[in-house]
Amino acid sequence: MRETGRGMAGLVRLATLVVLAATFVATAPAASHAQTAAPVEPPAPSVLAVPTTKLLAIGTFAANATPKMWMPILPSEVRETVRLYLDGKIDQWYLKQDQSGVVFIMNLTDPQQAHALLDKLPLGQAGLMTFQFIPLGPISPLRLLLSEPAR
Amino acid sequence: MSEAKNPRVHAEMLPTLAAVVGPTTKILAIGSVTAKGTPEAIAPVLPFEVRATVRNHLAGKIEQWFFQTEGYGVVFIMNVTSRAEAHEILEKLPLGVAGMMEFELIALGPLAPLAMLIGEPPRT
Repeated sequence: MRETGRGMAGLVRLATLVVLAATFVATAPAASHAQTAAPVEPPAPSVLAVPTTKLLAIGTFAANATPKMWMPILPSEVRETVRLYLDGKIDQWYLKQDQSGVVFIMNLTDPQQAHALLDKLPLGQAGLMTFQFIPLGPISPLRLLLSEPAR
Repeated sequence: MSEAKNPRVHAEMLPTLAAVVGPTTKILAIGSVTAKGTPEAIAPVLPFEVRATVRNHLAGKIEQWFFQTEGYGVVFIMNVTSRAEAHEILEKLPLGVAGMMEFELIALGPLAPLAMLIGEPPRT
């Protein structure tokens, strides 16, 4: 399900690129022609472009993890997780209610760095939990509300 | 909303964890565009989507909102206590009505294993 969703997003990303490329090819001759008359306008930044400010980390027990395997590790996992919070790396923490793992919102922008930190947690080292990351930024469509003048 | 069973939920661990699992307090909603949701199709709907989303925020239903900076989608943390309630709100958003965005809903609760830290304080 999750993978499907990401796949869709990937498709759309690809479609966007194709459209952009087609637009570029279509407008390139006109642009180069216009260059002699007036400086070419740089492409407007996408209205949806925002910086990555957080990472959503979704931790899921490995398919072969059993309580017998992870219960002895849990006390040290909790302590290491609290340390990451105290270091300012984990901003929010939740338990998935279907008991498949955890969800963190992290004060990091680089998934590689987040991977390195979370793989070092005891459950990660034991190969019992893996994390998936989704880079997050400000909710960019809000920018559309700024196009109307202030009253 | 998919009702497909998560293959990584193991029935045998449920009784073990049941003792420490708390109530559902939030719903994580991960919104991804569908194949129908091409940028051209989404653009005219987006102004309505934004307004409906802000209304849900002002109503206290969408607590936190983020844009997925890789890909085209959103992530919400919602102040609702069931996936059904979240689904009812999100399917009414314009992009949901148009079949251009679908949400994966994950029920969240307090980080229950923290309970392991609150035994008796160590004696000094």
